[in-house]
Amino acid sequence: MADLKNFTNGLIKNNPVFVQVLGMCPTLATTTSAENGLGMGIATLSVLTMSNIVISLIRKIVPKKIRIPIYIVVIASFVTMIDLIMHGLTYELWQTLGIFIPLIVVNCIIMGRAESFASKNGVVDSILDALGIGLGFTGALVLLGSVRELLGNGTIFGFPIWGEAINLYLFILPPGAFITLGLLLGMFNSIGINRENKKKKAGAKK
Amino acid sequence: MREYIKTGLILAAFMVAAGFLVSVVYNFVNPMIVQSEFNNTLSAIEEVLKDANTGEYLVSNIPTNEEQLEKNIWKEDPNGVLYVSQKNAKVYSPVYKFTENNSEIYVMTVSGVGYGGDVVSVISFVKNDDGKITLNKIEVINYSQETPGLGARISEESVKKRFSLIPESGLNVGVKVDKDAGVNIPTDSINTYKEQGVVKTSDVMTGATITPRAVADSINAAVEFLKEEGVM
Repeated sequence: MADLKNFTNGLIKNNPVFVQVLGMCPTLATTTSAENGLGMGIATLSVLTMSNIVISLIRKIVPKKIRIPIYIVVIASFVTMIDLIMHGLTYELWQTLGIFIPLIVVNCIIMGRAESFASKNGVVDSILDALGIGLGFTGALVLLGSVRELLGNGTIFGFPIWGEAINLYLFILPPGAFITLGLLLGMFNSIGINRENKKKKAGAKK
Repeated sequence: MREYIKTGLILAAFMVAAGFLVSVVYNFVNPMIVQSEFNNTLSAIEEVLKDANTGEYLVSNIPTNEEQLEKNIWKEDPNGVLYVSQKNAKVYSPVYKFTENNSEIYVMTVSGVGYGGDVVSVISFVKNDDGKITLNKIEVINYSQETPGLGARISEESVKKRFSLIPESGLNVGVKVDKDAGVNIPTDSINTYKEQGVVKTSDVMTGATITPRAVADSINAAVEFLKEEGVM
């Protein structure tokens, strides 16, 4: 049975970046601008969807002992194919995203979803899960990229927001990634805690 | 024992299937990759054949396909590489030569070692009838291994402009980026410093030194190659 919850879970409640703190390498390295974050997010989303479909299809014929190498082969093959196809068909995009694409192989979110979800659930559920987690990841990268681009370069998606007066290049450099991620994690956690407290209070009044 | 053989065979079957699928995709898209790489080089050659000052073409018949381009080949090498500098910057075969109204235009593909791999550019040198040679224009055509937002900004117009129109005096002493030369160049004297071979990149590419350095290395390799061939 397909369950829409598998889709919505990944967006906020189980967000791979802000809640599960997974996939930190691409999260920190590729979010120098909103556009780069979006590109990496979409590439990951497509690999995740395809690998989830295949792994869910073959879940019954894969022996338990060798499931990890098989998942890695499936994921790496898809990444290679996407790299080749993008190189041939969308040359400009491939140039800009070049270094990101091979990085997807080592993204632990994809491996994590293969192991914890797709290998235990049907195809439709796995697709929903991949879309939810993938979009959650994309959203997080775009948010992080936008904040860094705004503070470091004064633009979002290349559109100027304010001049160059208060730009801190630090935010485009690696330390900026850690600082921004830390602040955003803190913000999301405090929202979560506040909500729970409100719920508890509402419960106590009853 | 049988269990091990069975698992091994299953694993092998998956590997073979994956390898087969990847090779099918490769065979299918490879011609497209070759084609788009060539188009990329060709449009870069067209771009560097424009005068960096006026934007007008330096030659009257611009090559539009492989055949026309081959007519202009000046130096070739079956190994694909014509010159390797000490810093491992390379000049690739073929180098093209165009002649127009007493001036000679040399167009070549060069690479320097960047942050994640080779940074490949197409550059044009113009030798006028007075014997003076100038670096006219540069187009960075492959920077796919450079960090997006930092090194990958090398392809932006504002950066490429800084590497254009370097006079012979600057080429002779060797091209350097301002950070390596240890100078702080005011915006109004960018062109004066080009005469000494110093290119200001620190303002247009903050945080990235290795990528513009790779481009400077590749320019120097091209100059060394031209010297070796007796052009300058």
